[in-house]
Amino acid sequence: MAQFSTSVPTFLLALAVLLSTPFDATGQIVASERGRLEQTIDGTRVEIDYSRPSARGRTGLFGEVVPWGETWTPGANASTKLTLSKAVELEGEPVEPGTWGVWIELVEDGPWKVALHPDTSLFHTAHPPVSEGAYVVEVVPEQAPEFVETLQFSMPEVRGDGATLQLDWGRTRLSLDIAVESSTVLTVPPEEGRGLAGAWEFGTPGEDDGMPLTLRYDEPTERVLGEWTQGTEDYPVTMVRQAEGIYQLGFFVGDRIGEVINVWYFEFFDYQDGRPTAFEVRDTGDEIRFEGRRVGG
Amino acid sequence: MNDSISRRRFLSVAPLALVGTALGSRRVSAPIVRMDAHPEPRPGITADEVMTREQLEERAVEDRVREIFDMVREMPQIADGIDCYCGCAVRPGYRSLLTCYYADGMAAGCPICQGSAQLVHRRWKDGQSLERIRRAVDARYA
Repeated sequence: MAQFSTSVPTFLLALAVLLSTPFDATGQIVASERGRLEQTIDGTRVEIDYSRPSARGRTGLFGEVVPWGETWTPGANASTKLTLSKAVELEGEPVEPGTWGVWIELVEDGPWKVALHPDTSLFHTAHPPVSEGAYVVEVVPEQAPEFVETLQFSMPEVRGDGATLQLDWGRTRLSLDIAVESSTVLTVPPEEGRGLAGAWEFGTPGEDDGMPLTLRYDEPTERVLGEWTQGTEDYPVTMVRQAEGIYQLGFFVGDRIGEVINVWYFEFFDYQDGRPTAFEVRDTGDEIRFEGRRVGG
Repeated sequence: MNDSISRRRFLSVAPLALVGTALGSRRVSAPIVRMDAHPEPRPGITADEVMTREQLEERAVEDRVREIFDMVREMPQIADGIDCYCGCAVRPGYRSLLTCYYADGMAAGCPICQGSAQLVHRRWKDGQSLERIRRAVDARYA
């Protein structure tokens, strides 16, 4: 009893110290803070959940901080997780939806092996062999144009049919191609597609602001391709069919479909010998925004 | 004509079309193109079964929607040749956009029925053929 009574002040003091100390770590600087990248690509949600280590003056990151031959999670602490809401192709490899642990076997002279591991609970010290990955793809790292202090995932290119997932740390960059199941139908029935081929010009009704649009039917791919000329630049485009004679305009990123302007409808009409001679561009409120006419071909 | 419309301008004004639209938003693109789903209008079809103004008032349907019912009453022979993409066609008693405006008043609470009717009415007033009107509906709702 005497022991207890003498310890009460000490206990209260300790309690006071504890209560004055923040339990929550959110107010503190934590090494390798957690980060997240989330991107929806034509209905497929892709999410990367990872810790973000910084270089902190360490210049030799790969080969020194992370030794060659090690299976490393691109992050820190708990393994980096990749969540896919639908099936995708990663570097051309079909990957099922779900959450995967991401691990990379670092190869000094050759492509790195990126493995998606079914166990997402592993700590970064687990180093599971890439052979245990459900999926393994090989990617050649490249030199980043600028030094990136804190490890970073990004998607610098999001297209209509996929995206580039990019990992940067220090001077090293790893780019992974993600292809999703696209809802965009690019093929056009041959007879209809051939009918659109030719030179067109369109602009705002009543204004002198027309611009050329040249279309052709690409028989091998069954697509209506073309160029929209603006000044001295030609923008490659494709006509994305919505109904017979009604299209939306799609732009390319490289040779892949990029964005589809889904608020404009190119509606072709005034058919002569089975080929349209005019079109209207209507918005989603069905107002006519542009008018076009065939000028050749 | 000169080349004064830039791609940037074209893309920058595009979202404006989303504001105040009577037709509402839709997905990025249509994966399925339906070309032959539209019913043939029944010969001699009238708007007799379309809900009346009085019926709509009893149900406290807002003025904006009542006006759409008015539009449908003007063109029963066209509305009966349009498939409604709200999915009602599979229900007993429904066959076309026109029937969405019948006595149970389903269209009073359906933005697809309302948007379709506005689109069809506008184009019918412009003198477009039923075939072209159908394609316009397909492009937006299929």
